[in-house]
Amino acid sequence: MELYELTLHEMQALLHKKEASAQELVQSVCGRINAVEDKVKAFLTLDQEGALAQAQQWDARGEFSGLAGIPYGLKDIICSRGIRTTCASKILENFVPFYDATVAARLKGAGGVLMGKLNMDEFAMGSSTEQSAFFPTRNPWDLERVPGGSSGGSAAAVAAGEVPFALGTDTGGSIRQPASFCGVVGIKPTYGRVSRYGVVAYASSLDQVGVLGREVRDCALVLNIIAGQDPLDSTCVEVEKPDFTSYLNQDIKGLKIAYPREYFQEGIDKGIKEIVKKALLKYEELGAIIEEVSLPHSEYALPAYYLVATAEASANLARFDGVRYGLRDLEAENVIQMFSATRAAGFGDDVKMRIMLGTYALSSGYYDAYYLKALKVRRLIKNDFDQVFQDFDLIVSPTTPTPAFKIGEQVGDPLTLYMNDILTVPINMAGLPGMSIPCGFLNGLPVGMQLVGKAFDEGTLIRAAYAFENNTDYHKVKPDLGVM
Amino acid sequence: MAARKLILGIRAPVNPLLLNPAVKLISPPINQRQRADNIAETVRFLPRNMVKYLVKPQAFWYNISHGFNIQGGKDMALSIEEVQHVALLARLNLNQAEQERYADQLGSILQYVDKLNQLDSEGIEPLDHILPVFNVFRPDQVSPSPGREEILANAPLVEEGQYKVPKII
Repeated sequence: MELYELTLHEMQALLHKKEASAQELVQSVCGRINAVEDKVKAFLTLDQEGALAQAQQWDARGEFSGLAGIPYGLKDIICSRGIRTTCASKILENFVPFYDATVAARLKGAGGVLMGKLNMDEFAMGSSTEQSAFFPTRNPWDLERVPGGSSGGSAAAVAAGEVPFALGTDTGGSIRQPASFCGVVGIKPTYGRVSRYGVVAYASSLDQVGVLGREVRDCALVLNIIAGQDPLDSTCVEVEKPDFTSYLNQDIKGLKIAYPREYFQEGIDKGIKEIVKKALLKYEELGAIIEEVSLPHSEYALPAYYLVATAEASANLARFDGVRYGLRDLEAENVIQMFSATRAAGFGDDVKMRIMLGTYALSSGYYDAYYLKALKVRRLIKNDFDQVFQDFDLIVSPTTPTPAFKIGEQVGDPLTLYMNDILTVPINMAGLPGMSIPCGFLNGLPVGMQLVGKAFDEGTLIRAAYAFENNTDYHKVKPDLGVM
Repeated sequence: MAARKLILGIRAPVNPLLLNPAVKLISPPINQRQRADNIAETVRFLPRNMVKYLVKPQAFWYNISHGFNIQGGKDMALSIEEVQHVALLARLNLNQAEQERYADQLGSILQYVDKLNQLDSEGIEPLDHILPVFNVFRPDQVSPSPGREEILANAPLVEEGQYKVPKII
């Protein structure tokens, strides 16, 4: 077995026991990247030299703890000091941040070695990574298919063995959906658990940073590092932060699991429903109590989400004006022309569309009918979850209605594409922690199961995910990329 | 899209409810109830997604008289002028092809989100933020800031240590 194939915790053990050096590890990962990147195209920016130099420093120091010497990748929406951060947009093509996002600083502080920045849908708007302004990323399980999105580069890189873990962001499913499509574990923590400082904002009341890894333990380890209050983000709150790895190895006897009937309805692939129902039986076998529940406002989550998310996006993306950073139209004679021409040249189609929708929803005369209405519906959606969580510990459903679709298959029809998010969006609207774990295969493509917990109860998610993982082998199956 | 824009959302010419989409339906309000009841009698011609209007015929009439597409919600295709207005607010130059495409796409999305109006949200407190957090204060202490040069390094145009922009006034 090659070093790059190891999971994060296995790499840690090797380094801590000095059975491999950080340089050997990083070299193995570089070798893997060089072998498969032409096919997968997960990275927008690679810093192999920087990574090797850091590995050398760790070897010279000779003491390994935390993430010391462990390679990882960052979704290119997370600012990294001195390394280009593009959001997969032309408007930020040459933007080099002079500071680290809090999550990047924490990984760096723990000794992690940044390999590069990962592809995504432009400004995290999309579900396929086809909306990247540079190139689409491919699904390692089938190169003709999308890896999902918007954290598609992160999921594909982890699945292809290019990094043991990566950070992503999730506004409406952007960690869980690609994790599901690529057969890896993805966790979106509770809104407010992880700092968003230095993470380019899409929809500020929904965005959350999370982890994609090959095993549940790895995600818990990384969450331990990135979670916790940050004076630079007032929405990153002071709550008790447990050791998330303490939830591994706990049994789930008596755990009360709900499955919402609305998440198993028409429109969800039959094969996927069967696989997830089988997984529920597995949970029953392991001692959990399984019951059907209803989340009656589910069908309204997606339309409400599109108003809330685009309204917030239209305000957040106003900062890209060609003055302080990024692209600038130098021909324009007055300042409004400069803003408008710069933004027209810098933003892609889908981003423009969302800015237009959000601007419309917030514009005079429409605010009450659209934005305010959506916020009221958001309350109803949250109430549904509160109701279920009075009696249950966990909600389980499929992560996505279908397995990975083909590249180009859904381009040009925003509404069809939005339907991919139908099972993940409500969780962001309610601010709850969600996770996707591999639970089977449909025609050779991975299928993910979504676990949703109470606010700030990531522990129960980790415990249930770990119990399932320990009693199944789906996470051990790897895509064959046809290289040695 | 064309089929969706039919006022009654019914495609087949054999259907007796077919109305010419070009014709605006303007009828005196006194006929509303009667009209809805007449329509209800044609149940066997109704597509499945219209059956709900049999329970609430007034909703059916309300929708038609307010220009709603009863199949998916209001027929909300934007006019080119509206698109241009929103584009100005959003500070986005759009060419003609884009204006036409966005008029169409925004229309179909607005039609979809109009689904929210099926819900009675009277008296419900809007949830604008999930955390019960209001004012968050930290101690007012001086801490180091990045240098001016570092900050300006990403700016497209700089002069004498400042951002340069076109003339504003």
